[in-house]
Amino acid sequence: MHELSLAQNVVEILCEEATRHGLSQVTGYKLRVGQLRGVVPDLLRTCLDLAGRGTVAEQAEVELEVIAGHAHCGCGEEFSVSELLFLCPRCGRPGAEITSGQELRLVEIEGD
Amino acid sequence: MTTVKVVRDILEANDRLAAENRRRFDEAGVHVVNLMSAPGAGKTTLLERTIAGLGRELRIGVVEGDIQGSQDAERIERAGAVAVQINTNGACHLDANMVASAVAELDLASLDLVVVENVGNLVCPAEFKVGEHAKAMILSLPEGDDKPAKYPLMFHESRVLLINKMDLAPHVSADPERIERDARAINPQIEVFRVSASTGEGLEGWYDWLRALHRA
Repeated sequence: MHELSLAQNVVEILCEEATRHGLSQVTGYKLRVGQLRGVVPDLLRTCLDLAGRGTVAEQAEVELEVIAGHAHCGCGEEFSVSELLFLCPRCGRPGAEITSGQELRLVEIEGD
Repeated sequence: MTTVKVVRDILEANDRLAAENRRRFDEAGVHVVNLMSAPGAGKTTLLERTIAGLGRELRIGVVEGDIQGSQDAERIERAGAVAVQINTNGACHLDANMVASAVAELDLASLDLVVVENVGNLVCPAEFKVGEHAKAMILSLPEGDDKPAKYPLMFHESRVLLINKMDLAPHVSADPERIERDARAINPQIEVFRVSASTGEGLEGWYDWLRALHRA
């Protein structure tokens, strides 16, 4: 259920940005969520809806972009990963550096 | 209609508060461990044992996070350390703000080590920094050896894994080798100690790790 905490943080940032840019309402925004962060997109949507009530973001449409996981191994191999428990498909070793899939970012806001 | 391009990390407010907590800990010269596990894995028992084993060398304080109740803080005080209870009233993890208000009640300058005992939960606490120097986690053997594969984030974030309740090994089918192998596949640097907090078996490695953290 950390989706609710994440949603509350998103709404706080939306309210701050709305004030900063003189928006009386936020009509839409875009989130990038890494596949490896254990966020359930549908649950996050529900929580965003709850957290946004009574704020400038009450009517906002959210666009969720899920970012696929990738890793780079010391042996040079680049490969995609869908979870945090993985071994390099080429050399079989653990510990490859995760290069994407851990994002939790607000990247765009639309409003009036 | 206005479109604003922003790039803001969703957890930045928490990360900022965690960095402030960390600065306060560093100024006071106190080291902080964020201790996480599922409910019932033995966090409070481990702390009682640790206070008994290390309490003469290190001045230990505990921040107890629970959804409700103060039983755990009372257990810690009976064990001989100072404790502050946080009730999250439903939230499934501690965040930096909750920990900031709790540590305000501790005299940090009179402590060497503070353990933040997180809410029992194998998922959410791993996402939220509280200003700790290190995260440590407990997996108790009866929970099963499939847990690193099923709940990898906490294993990924932790510097220490205590496999607890090793005294129950003859009675359960879980294989500690598999736990260790999968934990290291997720996080090759993780230090693993096999312990029983209730019998005291295997705790010397954990104590040495805490001593080294304190000297760092």
